[in-house]
Amino acid sequence: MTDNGKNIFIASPNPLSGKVKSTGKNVVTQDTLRKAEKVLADMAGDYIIWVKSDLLKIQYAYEDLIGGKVERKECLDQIFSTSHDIKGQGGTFGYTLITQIGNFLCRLIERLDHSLPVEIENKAVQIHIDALHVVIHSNMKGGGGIEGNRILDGIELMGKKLVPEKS
Amino acid sequence: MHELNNPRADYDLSELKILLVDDNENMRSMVKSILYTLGARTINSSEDGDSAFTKMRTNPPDIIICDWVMKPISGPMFVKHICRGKDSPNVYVPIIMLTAYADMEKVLASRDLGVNEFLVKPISAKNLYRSIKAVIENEKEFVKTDTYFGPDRRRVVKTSGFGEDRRSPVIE
Repeated sequence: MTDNGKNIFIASPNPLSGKVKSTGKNVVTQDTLRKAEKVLADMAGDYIIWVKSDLLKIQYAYEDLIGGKVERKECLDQIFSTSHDIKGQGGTFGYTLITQIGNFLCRLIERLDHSLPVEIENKAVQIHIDALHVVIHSNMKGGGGIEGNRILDGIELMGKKLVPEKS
Repeated sequence: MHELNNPRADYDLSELKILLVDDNENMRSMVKSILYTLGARTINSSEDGDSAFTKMRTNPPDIIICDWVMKPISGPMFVKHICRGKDSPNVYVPIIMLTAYADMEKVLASRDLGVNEFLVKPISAKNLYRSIKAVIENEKEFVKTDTYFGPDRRRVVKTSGFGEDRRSPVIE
């Protein structure tokens, strides 16, 4: 509490400016940044392994979803969090189509409010997972060209038809 | 003047202790690789908020980088606990929120919780460095009132995530 009712502003007791130097051989330069971008780009091969592993997680969670033995919310949470990871990582390595489908799947799951029959909800989720299978296993980089647009248009249309957006 | 677009200085990050909190192992690996190449040498990581708190006590970080979507404690809850929790190891530690969300509602919510920088995925080396620079150059003030103690929510944050034009490339 303040003594006199006035706001008291407090600076950080350990400012970072006291811990970093702006001179010397270790200062970040454009060359350092280029090297860091290259390190990231070199991880693209790992990314394909990661995303295939993520897709398996989604597939297993989907099988639990339709199997009905695991709580529905738990399955959808797992699918959401893994697609959210896919969405966040694909763009770093140039797999923007994977990122977009991951995003569509997240937005779809956010729209599921249990007002529709579970079979319809499941079908909508499955369409997105199928699209991820196609794009990942055919290693479609970037936006995927005409085929990529066709896939995106298709899942967007079917997703909104099966689970309409709330106005 | 340095070649980078920002007219201010660039920095040697080797003395900074960075704590990375993300439940996704691949993302931790990506961010650690970037940080290491940028010169950071003390990079700790945790896969959840609880273990991050333990690490904050045993090896206090200078900066925390955390994800928005985490389990069991979400990124926003973790930040709230750091900035407002009575048992917080350090309410003043700067925080960079890493997220796949880009909507203004979440950006503002993060700022109000006490996040210094909001870094939208896809991550790149230049964007991560830009966020770290912004944290170094824009130390957040804290405010104590009769009813509130925490980050000054009225502050103007001129940073990559909250204000400055992120479209300006660091590398041409």
